[in-house]
Amino acid sequence: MKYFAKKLIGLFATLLAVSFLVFLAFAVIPGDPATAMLGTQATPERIEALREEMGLNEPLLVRYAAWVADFVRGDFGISYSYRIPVTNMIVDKLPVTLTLMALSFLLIVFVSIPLGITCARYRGGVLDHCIVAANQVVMAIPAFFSGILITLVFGLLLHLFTPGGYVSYQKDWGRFLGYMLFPSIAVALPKIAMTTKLLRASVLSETRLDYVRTAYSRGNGTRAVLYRHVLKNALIPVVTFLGMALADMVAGSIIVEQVFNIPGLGRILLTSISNRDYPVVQAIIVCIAFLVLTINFLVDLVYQMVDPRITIE
Amino acid sequence: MLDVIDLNLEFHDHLVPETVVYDFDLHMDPGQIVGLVGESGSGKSMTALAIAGLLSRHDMQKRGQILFEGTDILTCRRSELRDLQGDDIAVIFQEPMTCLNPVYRIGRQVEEALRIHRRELSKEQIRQRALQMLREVELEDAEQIYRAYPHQLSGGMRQRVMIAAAMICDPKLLIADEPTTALDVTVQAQIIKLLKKINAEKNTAILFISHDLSLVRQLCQRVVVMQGGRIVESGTVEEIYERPCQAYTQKLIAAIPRCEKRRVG
Repeated sequence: MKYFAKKLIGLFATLLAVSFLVFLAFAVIPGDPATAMLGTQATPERIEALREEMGLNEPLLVRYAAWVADFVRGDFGISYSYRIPVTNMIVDKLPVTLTLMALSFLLIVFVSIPLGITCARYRGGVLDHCIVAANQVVMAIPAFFSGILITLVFGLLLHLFTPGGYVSYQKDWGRFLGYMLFPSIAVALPKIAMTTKLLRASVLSETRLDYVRTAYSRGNGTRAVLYRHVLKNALIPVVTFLGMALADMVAGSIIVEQVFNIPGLGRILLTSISNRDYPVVQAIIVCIAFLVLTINFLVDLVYQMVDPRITIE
Repeated sequence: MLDVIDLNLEFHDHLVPETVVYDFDLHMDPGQIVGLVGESGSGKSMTALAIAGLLSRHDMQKRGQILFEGTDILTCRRSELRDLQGDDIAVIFQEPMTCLNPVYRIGRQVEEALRIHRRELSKEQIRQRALQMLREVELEDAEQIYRAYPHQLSGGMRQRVMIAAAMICDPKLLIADEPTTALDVTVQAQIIKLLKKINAEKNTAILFISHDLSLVRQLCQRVVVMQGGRIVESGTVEEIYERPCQAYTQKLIAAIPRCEKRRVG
C-alpha cells in the first residue's frame, strides 16, 4: 500500500514538473498565439486586445496556477485555434495513438522472442548470422524512413494497403487495424532488432547456468529447455528494455503518424505547437507523460511476475 | 545394468585436443552403490556427466561404450536418450543453490520428470506424488515447500528437493555428482543417510561421486579411484580401505581427517 502511495505522489510531482516545463518553454520561444490566431488580420491593436482577452498578459506563474486549477477539475481548457474543448480533441485521437503503440508492442514481443531464442539456439550457424546481420541494418534505420520504405513496398508495389487511405476506427475497426498494422511495423522494426539482440545475449548467458543442465537431466528436449526454463529467466533484462522502448515509442510514433497520414495525438501536437495552441500542447504533453509513467509502473509489476525474488514493497 | 567400456573423453575446444578420461571401465548391478573418488580434475565428474548423457555433443570426442540396459548412451538417438533421462537415469548435482530454476515454484520442478515421462497421470495424481516425494526426503511441511520458490529454502532443503525431483520416476540409476560438497557437515550426514534409505527402500543403484573418502566409506559398497583421468584402483570398500595398493589411494586415505583422543601430559 505504501508502495502505491509513493508511486502516486511521484506521478503527480512528475506531471506537475513536466507541465511547468512546457509552460516555461512557451514563454521562452518566440511566437504568440494571438498573432497566430488572427493571421493576416493581425494589427497591433487587435493583437493586444486578444492577448488581454485570453489572459496572456498575466504573469507566467499566475497563468500556470490558473491552468493547474482548471486541470485538476478535469477542465483542459479550450483550443485557441479550433475553438473546441481540448478534452474532446484528445479523447478522439488517443485511441489512434494507443492502437499504434499496442500493435507495435505486440509485434515486438511476438517477433523478437522467437527470433532471439532461435539465434541463441543455432548460435554461430547460418540462420544466426543472417538474423544478426539483418538486425544491424534494421537497427540503423529510423522509424520514419522505414515508414517510407514500407509505404513503397507494401503500399505501392504489393498493394496491401492504400497509402494515405486511413480509415477512422469510428467507421470500421477492422479496416482501421488493417491500416494501422503498417505504421506499427515501422515503429516496431528497430525495437524488434534491439530486443532480438538483447534476448539472444541473455539466453546465451542463461544457458551456461546449472539449472539448464538439471532441466536436460529430467529428459527435456532443447526446445522445452529454452522455452520452459530459460525464457522466463532470460526475459528479466528484456523487460527493462521493453519498458524503455515503449516509453520511447510514445514519442517516436508522432513522426510515423506524419509519414502515414494518421490523425493521432502526434498530428495535433505538431500543428498545435506551430499555432502556439498552449492548452492543446499542455494537455497532450501531460497525457504522454502520464502514459510513460504508467508504463514504468507496469514494468515494475511485470518484474515481480517474472522474477519471484523481486518483491515490491 | 550399467556397463561402461573403454570410455575416452577428449575435448576439442582448444587448439590442442585434451583427453580428460582414458579407458574408463565400470560395471554396476541394480541396487548397488558405487563410489567414484579422486581429486578435482581427475575426470570423475566428466565421467558422471557422460553416463548421464549430459555432455554436450559438440567440440568433444567420446569413444567407447556406455551401455545402460543395452542402450549405448553415446550413440543412441536423442529421443531415446531423453526417454531414459529423468525416468531411468536421474542426476543430482553439486550446487543445490544454482541447480533449481529460480523463477519457478518447487512443486513444478519436482513434478517435471513425471510430467514428461508419465503423460497418462492427471494433474492431481502428479501433485500428490510430488507431495509424497517431498515427505519421503524428510522435508517437513511438504505443502508449503511445494509452493515455495528455491530462494526461500536453505541449501540442505534444496538438495533434498533435488533428490525428490530426481527420484520421482523411480529411476534405476541415480548419479550423485558431489551432492554434499556444498553443504555443511551435519547436513552432509543427513543427505548420506537419506541416500542410504532410498537405496534400501527402492533398490535404486547409486553412482556416488565424491572427493571425500570418509563419506564414500559410509555409503558405498564398491569404490573406483581415479587420478588424472585414469582408474588407478577399484574394489570393495574394505579392500580399498584396509589394503590400498596404490600410493595415490594411500595418500587419499591418509588425507581423511581423524578424531583421536590426545593424551595430555
